[in-house]
Amino acid sequence: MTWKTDVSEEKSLCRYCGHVQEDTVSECLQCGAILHQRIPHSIMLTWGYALAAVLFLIPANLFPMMVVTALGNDEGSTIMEGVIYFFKHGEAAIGAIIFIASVAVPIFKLAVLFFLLAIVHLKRHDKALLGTKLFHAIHFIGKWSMLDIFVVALMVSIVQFQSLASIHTGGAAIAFASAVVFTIIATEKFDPRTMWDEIENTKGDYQCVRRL
Amino acid sequence: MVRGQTACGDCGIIIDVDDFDTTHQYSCPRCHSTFYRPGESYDLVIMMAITSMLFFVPAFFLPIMTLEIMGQSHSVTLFQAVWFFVNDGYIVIAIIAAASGVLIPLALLGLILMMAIALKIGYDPRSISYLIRLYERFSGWSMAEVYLVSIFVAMIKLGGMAELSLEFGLFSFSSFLVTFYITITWFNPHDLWNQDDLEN
Repeated sequence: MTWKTDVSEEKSLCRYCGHVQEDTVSECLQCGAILHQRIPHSIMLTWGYALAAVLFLIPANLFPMMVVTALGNDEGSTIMEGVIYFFKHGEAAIGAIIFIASVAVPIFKLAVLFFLLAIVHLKRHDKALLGTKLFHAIHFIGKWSMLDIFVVALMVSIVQFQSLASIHTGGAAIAFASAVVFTIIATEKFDPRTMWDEIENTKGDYQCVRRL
Repeated sequence: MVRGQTACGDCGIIIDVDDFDTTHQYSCPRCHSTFYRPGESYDLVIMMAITSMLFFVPAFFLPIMTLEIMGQSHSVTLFQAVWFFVNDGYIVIAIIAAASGVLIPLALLGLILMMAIALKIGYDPRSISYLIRLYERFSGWSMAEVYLVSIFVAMIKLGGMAELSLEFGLFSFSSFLVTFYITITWFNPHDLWNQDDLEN
């Protein structure tokens, strides 16, 4: 079955108000937003942000997330050490939440992003339905990887008893925050419609990128 | 949306919508994504947004917890937790946490109120379309629910080193979160363009 698409009908959809118009129009006739048939440079930007996120995940897992100073002793803990701490102290549920939010979800998100990029590059239209569902899933769960960053930010501001105990952020906090933010941007830049496009979209982004 | 033709934002097919009923949810026949979700009337949205704003004030300025460590007692408000970093150098983490956890949800509520009230008093939706673009830009970055869970995780972590007691601010923050989510679920920015719906 062939479908009428916005590319074949030469239409473009305004993502802000939902108005459909000829793709020669550059500003939405209904709301005035700048129109793009596909997100500009979607594939290239997704690759860039996803690879940056992968690079930032390495220091994020090696360096301590926060350093606890109690009665003169410094004690740093990485993400995995924090998870293990909870499992050892009988708080398995909290340990599982942190493990899912800060280890499983970032890796799953990046794996899905590379899978989606592979669908686009290899033109596997048979996988496009699965890809769209996975895309919605990572949109939904993406923000939960910020959990550990918020915990660190709260702990640092709460525990400030000058001489007795204080908490500082470690090097991993900023790396992990960057990794999560870059993954979210990569997801926002990815245009799921590129997975479905049967014909090369000449007004879209990735052809223009190749021509450059 | 009653325009005869629309396109799916997730796979790009053109869908004819001749008898379009704005009280139902519609999914794309090819990629199964939802392309229209009905919203509530703007009266309800405005009321819920104001309720949520009212909960925000105690949530932000009243203590969320009190902790006691070796005789020293210390109560924490969200305002302090956000403001602390400004004095103390962890600027990037602080901006990310404060913005996505607290400030962006508040900004979204403000935008919803501005848009809904402007339409109620008879503005042309075209003149406020920059607010819609701002709303769509920010809506992916509101993480208030993650912030609430992180407060609980931080409490359990602190439980090992200090005596903790919950305070009223935490309950206000939870109520803020619930009403905030009801507001953004009821509010459908595409309905701004649907004149039939405005008359309800």
